Amino acid sequence: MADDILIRQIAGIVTSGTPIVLAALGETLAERAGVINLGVDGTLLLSAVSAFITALAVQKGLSGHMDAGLVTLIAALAGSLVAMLVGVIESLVVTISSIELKQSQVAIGFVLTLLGRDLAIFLGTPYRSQGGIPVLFLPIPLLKDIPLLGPILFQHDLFTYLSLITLIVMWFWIFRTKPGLTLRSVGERPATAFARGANVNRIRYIYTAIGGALIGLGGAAYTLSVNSTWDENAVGGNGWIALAIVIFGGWQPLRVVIGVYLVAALRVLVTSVQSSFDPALVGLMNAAPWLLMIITLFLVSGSYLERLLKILPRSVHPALRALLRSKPPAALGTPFEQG
Amino acid sequence: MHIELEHITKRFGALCANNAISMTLEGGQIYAVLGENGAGKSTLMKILSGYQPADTGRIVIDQQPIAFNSPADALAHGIGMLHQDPLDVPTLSVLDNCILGLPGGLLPDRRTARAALIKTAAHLGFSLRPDAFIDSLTIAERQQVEIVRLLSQNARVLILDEPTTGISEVQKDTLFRSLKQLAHDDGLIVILVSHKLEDVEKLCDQVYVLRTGQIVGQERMPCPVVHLITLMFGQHLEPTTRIAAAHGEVILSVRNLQVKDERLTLDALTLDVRAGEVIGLAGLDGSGQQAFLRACAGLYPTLQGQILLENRDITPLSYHERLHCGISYASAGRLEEGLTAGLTVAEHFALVAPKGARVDWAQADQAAQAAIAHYKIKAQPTSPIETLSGGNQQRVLLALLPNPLKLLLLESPTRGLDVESARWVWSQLLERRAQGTALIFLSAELDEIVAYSDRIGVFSNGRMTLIDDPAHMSIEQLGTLIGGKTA
Amino acid sequence: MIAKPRTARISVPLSRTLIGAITIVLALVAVLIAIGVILILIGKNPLAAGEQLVQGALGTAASRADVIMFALPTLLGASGLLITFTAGLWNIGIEGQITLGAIFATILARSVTATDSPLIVLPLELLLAMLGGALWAALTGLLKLFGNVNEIFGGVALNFVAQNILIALLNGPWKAGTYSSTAPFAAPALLPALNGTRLSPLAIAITLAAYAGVVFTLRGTHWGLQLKAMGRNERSALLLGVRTRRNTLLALIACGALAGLVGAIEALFVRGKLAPGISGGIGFAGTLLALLVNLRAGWLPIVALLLAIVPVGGLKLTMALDESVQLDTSLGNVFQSALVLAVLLANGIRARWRTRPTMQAAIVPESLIISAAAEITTHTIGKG
Repeated sequence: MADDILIRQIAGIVTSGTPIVLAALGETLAERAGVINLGVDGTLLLSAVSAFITALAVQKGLSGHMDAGLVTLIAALAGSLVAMLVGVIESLVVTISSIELKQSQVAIGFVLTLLGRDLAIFLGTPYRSQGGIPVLFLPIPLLKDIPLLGPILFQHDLFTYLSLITLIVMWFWIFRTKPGLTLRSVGERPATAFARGANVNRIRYIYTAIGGALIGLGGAAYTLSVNSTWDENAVGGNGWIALAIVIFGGWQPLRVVIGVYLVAALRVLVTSVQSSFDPALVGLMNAAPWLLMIITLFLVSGSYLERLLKILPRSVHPALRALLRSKPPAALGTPFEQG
Repeated sequence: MHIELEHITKRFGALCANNAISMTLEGGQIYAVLGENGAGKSTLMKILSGYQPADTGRIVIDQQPIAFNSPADALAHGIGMLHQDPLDVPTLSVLDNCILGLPGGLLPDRRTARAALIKTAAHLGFSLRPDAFIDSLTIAERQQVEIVRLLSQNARVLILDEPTTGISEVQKDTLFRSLKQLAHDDGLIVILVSHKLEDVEKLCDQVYVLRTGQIVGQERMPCPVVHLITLMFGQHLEPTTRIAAAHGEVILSVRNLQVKDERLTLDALTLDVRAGEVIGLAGLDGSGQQAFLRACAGLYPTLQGQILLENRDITPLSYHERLHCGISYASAGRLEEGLTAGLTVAEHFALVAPKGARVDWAQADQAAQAAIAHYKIKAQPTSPIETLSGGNQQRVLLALLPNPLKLLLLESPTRGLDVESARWVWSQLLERRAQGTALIFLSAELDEIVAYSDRIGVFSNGRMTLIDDPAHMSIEQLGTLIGGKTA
Repeated sequence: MIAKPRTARISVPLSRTLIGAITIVLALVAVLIAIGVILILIGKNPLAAGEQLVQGALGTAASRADVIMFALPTLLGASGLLITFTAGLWNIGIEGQITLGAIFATILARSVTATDSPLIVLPLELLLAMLGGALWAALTGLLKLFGNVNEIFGGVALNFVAQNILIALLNGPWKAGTYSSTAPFAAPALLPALNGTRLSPLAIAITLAAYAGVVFTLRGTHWGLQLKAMGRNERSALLLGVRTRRNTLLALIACGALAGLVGAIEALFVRGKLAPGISGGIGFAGTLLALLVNLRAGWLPIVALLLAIVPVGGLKLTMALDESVQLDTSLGNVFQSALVLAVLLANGIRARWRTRPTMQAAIVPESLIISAAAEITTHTIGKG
């Protein structure tokens, strides 16, 4: 019985982590191309509320005309598409401002995150107390019955499956394909990418837009799945966490996702034990993920990692690098003058 | 393969970097493009390798005139360039670097690429580890990777820009052997862009010499080196009036100094500089003179050895601490490392004169005005520094130097200046010298070195040769030393 | 062999200011039109709403006092941020610094009783607040200097940690009653209000003094000039003798101290106690304000006041009886951030049009002097 609770909790971690996984993976993609999109939090909120409003509107418009299940599906689809569109638009503002207008990516991103948040609150006010569409619970037949892994991985909704698929596809794309090599070179040394025939700025536009779409999808996951209501306090702040985890995860999709689940697990842990602890301590425990990230980054980014690498034999280097390396793509945030 | 460059011309504003340059390049030959810094070599090669279009003129490959619109385009036509800092991606492996940019398909064919890599490398006598990461390789190894890569993409022309700076003798031999093989056995065109006469002698079949944007000579090797030097540096033996000055006590004492920068390690250097003495450091870019100068300034760490200022050991002192000891340093990059774009002239004067917490703007303005008048700077105290011409910026930089100074370290004090401004700058520097300041400067202009130095330090590949009596040295002899051949 | 500079960029400040002003006005108009369109689409009357907003904010003496009090914390925060922006830093951590300032002030404030003397208590509280904010900012600085942790990430992380510390205190040892907040502070602990108004002369004095202090520091002291040099070109500044590492830390501490004062004003006047969300987004609002005026200190007070009209007037609109002007306050926030975005974009468009300086001159972007490039790569997140 205790096992059951544990398994359900782990499944809960996966569920609650899904939106952040999507957002963090999206931001990883953009930053791999050299673009920092600080607007993640605002976009998450804005796309979440957009998905919610759209889905409700579609549901209201279609209900009665067709099967309820189908209506829900279409509403969710519409909501997700709108959310992704919001993400794409936001990312385009960042890239256009940076590439064409030579503005600071950090400045634009910062303003966009506030604007996104404010817009979301404004648009969402009338919807605060409304219920949303029912969660699209989609357990996968057969796989869901596998002991242990079944409930954890295969009894979720479409968003979670999408997030895991995105992880696999992204990992494969970045590390196993030729276009992935080009992507990495654009973020590391655009001059080389350009010399090899890549259109650096166009690549930045495209990948940042895809990243934006993923962030938007993450927002949709909040209001169409995780909560099925609009609550800006549940959504807000997670974009910043996603940004931090991209850094913490060393811009590697697998590490990033593990980082997200780690943070989600810490949160679940705190929630489940908080009743037995002094409320003051609970407050500090909530800070644990951030403190962990700060300390880790401090140790890794200072010269401590380099010193460690010098001591160890060369054969260990690739493994250690993959595990601990936290260097940003060298060209992150820099404009590239093409031609 | 047969390439003709016909009347290639390229201008940057008022500067004519390439002036109607024409060249013939035949397969199976190794060419050298020789010239001083600023002669126009890199511009020409950038045009040939597709980085820049020429203003006028054309490139004809095998009777077909071709215009490249990108470096990748040029490589598709068989022209590949190995840069001085090879264009690779540090975080990728050797194998991945070679795969990057290959046409075709979503999935890289790692096996084929690996086999091709190993085969080509073996053919050239390189030993490469395909899975090593680029940022763990030496410059020589990175060059090898790039050459292998270019060849695997069917480059028929290899342009190498200063490839031998920062690689060891053994690595150089390997490189040259492979280049000879590529040209003479495999029929490629190899172009070596260099100033190193020793290398040109060892490697090349034909030489083109550039000076101030034009071809001034085309020779077949072997050819007397002196002749090449004359072509490179020109025949200006300007009569110089060197003011003999009495030298004071030893101010700077460098003992067994070893410095390391990204490219090379300087040999142990020992030097004594007296008050009022002017030491000129000559040598080609990357030979160590800049590293030495910066080490004296405290910007580069020293591996071993000592630096003494008036018998006081300043080796452990930081750059800022040395500023307080009466040492000043002026970098060559005026705007990148010296002046701050966005600040006005007066603000610069305020910045270097910190007396008290408050800025006395009236005083700063006055100081700026005084400097403008004295140094004949064409600007106002309120002019943003980036709006000044290079010459005027240099004047401001000099004006900002404190007075009096014990030691003044200058990188290329007259770079980019017209003759009149340069002469004027030196009159100011000589005034300081008359007051007892010791000067160490480096310059790419040989006549400047010869005209003003009491002693000359010639740097070549990290080693300094001290010339105590430059009065009896000719430009040719100096050029030879610089080229790396001991006199 | 050099190209003569082609540009004759006039160094007279006036024309640049004029162009800057016109840009802001154009951006303002664009945003107003956009918002007007949105309002019409949701069935509201934009013109009437606008009129009532301004009326509501400036109509009565009380509301005018509210505008002033609303502008103060943002102005104070923006003043502090001018220091860090000038030095080329993005002090996103200001929210946390405000929170810590409030917390530190509360350490004393909550044990103040009615018989204590405000003359002793108030200065101590303010000093504590400055200390708290300065310490928190110093943390960000130390992380950056010794761990190469980018100050944006450090700031964001520490913001969250500060939030958690606040909640921990309010739910734990400092909890009073059933809500998570302290008990209201005793009168001597609070900043006194001007009789019969909602104005706090002390808060006004502090803010104006801080603002003047910042302006004077940046324009009239060597330290300020050093910061300016650092912000433009860190390498050159270093070579000219500026101690860049030390100044980075000092700039953050200075901004943190002022942020702490904001926290003190919030806890000791606006709320009268320590409550969740004490920093209330003021830090970010201050950042927006600084970006809006393009770091030109002279414009800060006026723009702060003008901006403050929106939330104060907006509050009146939420309670309006006439449906066609009833609006949520969040729209006011939308207006603010949209305005800053529009200004940034307008600056970028303007920069694209002007004659580019030649290769001799450096290209200094007209809007936000700090470029993200310098931020992210030189002060790298993970230094390589």
